[in-house]
Amino acid sequence: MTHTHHRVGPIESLKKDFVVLVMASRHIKYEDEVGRFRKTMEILRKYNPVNLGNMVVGNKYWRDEEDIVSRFREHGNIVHGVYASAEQVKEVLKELKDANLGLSVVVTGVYEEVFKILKEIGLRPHTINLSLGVWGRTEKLPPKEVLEITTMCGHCMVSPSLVMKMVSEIKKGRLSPASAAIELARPCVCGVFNVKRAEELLRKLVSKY
Amino acid sequence: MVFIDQSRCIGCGICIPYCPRNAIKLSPETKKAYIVVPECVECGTCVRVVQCPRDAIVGVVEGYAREVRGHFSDPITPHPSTGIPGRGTEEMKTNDVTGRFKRGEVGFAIDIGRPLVGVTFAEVGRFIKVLNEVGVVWEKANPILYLLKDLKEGKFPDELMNEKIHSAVLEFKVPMSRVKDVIEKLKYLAETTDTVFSVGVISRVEPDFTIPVVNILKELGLEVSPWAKTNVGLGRPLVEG
Repeated sequence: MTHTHHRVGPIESLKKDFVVLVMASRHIKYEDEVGRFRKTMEILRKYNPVNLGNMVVGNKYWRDEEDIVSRFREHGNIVHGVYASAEQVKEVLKELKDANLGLSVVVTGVYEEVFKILKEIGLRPHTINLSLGVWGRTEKLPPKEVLEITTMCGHCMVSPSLVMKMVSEIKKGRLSPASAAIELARPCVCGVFNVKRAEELLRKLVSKY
Repeated sequence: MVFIDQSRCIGCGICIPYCPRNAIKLSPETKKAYIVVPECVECGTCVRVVQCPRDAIVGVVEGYAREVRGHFSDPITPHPSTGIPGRGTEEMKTNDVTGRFKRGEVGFAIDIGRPLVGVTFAEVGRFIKVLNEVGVVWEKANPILYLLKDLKEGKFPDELMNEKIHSAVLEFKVPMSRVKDVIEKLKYLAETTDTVFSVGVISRVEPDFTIPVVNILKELGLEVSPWAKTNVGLGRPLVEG
């Protein structure tokens, strides 16, 4: 499951995109796992995530946010908070560290930026999953500007046709770029789609097409 | 299987752009939407997200092969072999507590069919057979291995071979010294496949924040993306070794 991996785009755009994933390993029995995840959600929510997801419930643009932050299964939970700045991620990680919940935390983003944050708050990266990009018949892929948006849902639930439909709706004045970005976030059920970055990318697409 | 109830559909076409496989079409004869069944991978997006004004999109599980399509295409369906939603395993995300990837080892996560092109089980099997030639250590909990009839030959049950899925993640590890051999096989697969695949390379990070595998990848002429997933080591009890 590499749902936050392999995002593409110019480095300056990628630097405004971070996913914080918190996960309980199924190989470990955590006492009061539900309580630990409620606390995690409290921390993720406090720093204004642009998206929030809970694998039991869904994302905040498709499901009720109160359910997302409170409904968990007894074991094996996974949640996500998506942020548009390094400062927010730094604060989230500081609080997660202080809370000492024992859950695994993975930050996806430009890794040099992530490493910088970790150094500042006294954490050390344990393991990394690097991306070597897409191989094979890449001529079958949509244009790169569209991929910059669709790859924000690593499970590929956001369709290139929907991206172009949103561009058309913005051009016709039926939707704002912000509303169109939210519509694109709904199919990404895990809640890892960065709506803020999508909004910026949509504005660029509108000027191009 | 997902279908569009023809007695309810009014042909507004609102559902069409939502399908990531472009499997929803509007019939020129009936002027109603329908699903191209061989192209539909049962990802569930249309059922979940489209606000059909007539509730004409219906999802029902029908048969083993369609159910398996769903397991590898719908991210909120937990796979029976892993218990977690998605197409892979906990992978490096919990490596701070499982120690699955040790220093000196390199993991690979090869996501075949991704992004957006899709893949058949027959092609996934061919990847497995080719990668077996370099003696990779497969992640046993991976849902793909759970389905295999013959790991050595990359054979799935006959009824699955031509089934199309959104993507399949192959997970394995090798000693650092074998990275070059894996990359050579991946280059061969890139030249011979009819789909795409995304390549992830997993490694422990040294205490001084260096990543030894990066130099090997660069020596092989590969471009490492600045985008990556970092396990920040907050899991407890922590596996250090």
